[in-house]
Amino acid sequence: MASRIIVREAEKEDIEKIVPLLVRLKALNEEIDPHYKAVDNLEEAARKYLETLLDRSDARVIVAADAETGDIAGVIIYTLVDRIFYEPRIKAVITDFYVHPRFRRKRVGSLLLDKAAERAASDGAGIITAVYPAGNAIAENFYKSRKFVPLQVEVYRPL
Amino acid sequence: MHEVSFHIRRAVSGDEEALADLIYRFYRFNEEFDPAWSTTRNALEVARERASRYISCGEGCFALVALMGEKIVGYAYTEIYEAEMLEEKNLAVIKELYVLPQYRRIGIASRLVEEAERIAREELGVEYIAAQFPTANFVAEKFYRNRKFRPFISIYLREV
Repeated sequence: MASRIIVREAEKEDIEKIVPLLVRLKALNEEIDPHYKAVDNLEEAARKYLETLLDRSDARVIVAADAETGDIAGVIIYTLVDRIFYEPRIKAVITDFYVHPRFRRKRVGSLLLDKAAERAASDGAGIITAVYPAGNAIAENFYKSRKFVPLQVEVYRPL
Repeated sequence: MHEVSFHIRRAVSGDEEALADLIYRFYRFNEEFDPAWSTTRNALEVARERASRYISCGEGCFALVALMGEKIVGYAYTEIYEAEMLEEKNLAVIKELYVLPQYRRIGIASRLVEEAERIAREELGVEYIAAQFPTANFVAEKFYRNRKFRPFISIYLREV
């Protein structure tokens, strides 16, 4: 039977259920590029990160929850950035976006993205962007199919 | 540039724990590509059983591990299939190939595949080698294409 999904802003009580999703996301990033090597205390780091985000006024954590079980099916996190040289000044940057594999292909990702875009607009953002590892073809296809276009390139080299 | 040294050998008794961790990681990674790859809650336990099975498998399969010093950092698991109707009856299929992220880009996966090819050809008399991976794993696709593999079988799936 199909799950009914509720998309809403996260609360402190959700943190323990969001942590495993963030851990999975960072572990996936590590698979895509070894320079995303995850820290040993990944769970703890994820927990602290979420606690901090939920206290910030320039960041939003939005979750998709299974209405029956309360399980968190996915999470999207964005922060607001003031682009002081450009118009529109405020952009929402999606920094973390993950849907648990069990809930994929059920439009959970689209629901989360739509909610984030709507909330970002009400936060005063004029554009929404997303960052993800360069080799993540799944993310690339997802955003491309939702009319996102390349905006910025980040290159790196180890020191 | 310093040379990175690793070696490849067959998995043996004593490798179970490290091999199980790699098998678990392999399946967890595949899980990202399609919900049909969702792993069971006891996946690590199953991976341990598999590791033991891979180490003790007979002529129908073999497992290779890559070692950096004493540490097992990658593995390849290959099964031999017999197709009675086909002229070339035996086919070696690399079912699983995984290298720990921090040990990538130094040729370990390539060497694992080369060694699997060598064993298939020289020890098992097999003329073809194939590899399986999730369709959406474009990194794997590129990896095998770069090594002269060509598309062979497609599997399509839907919920029922």
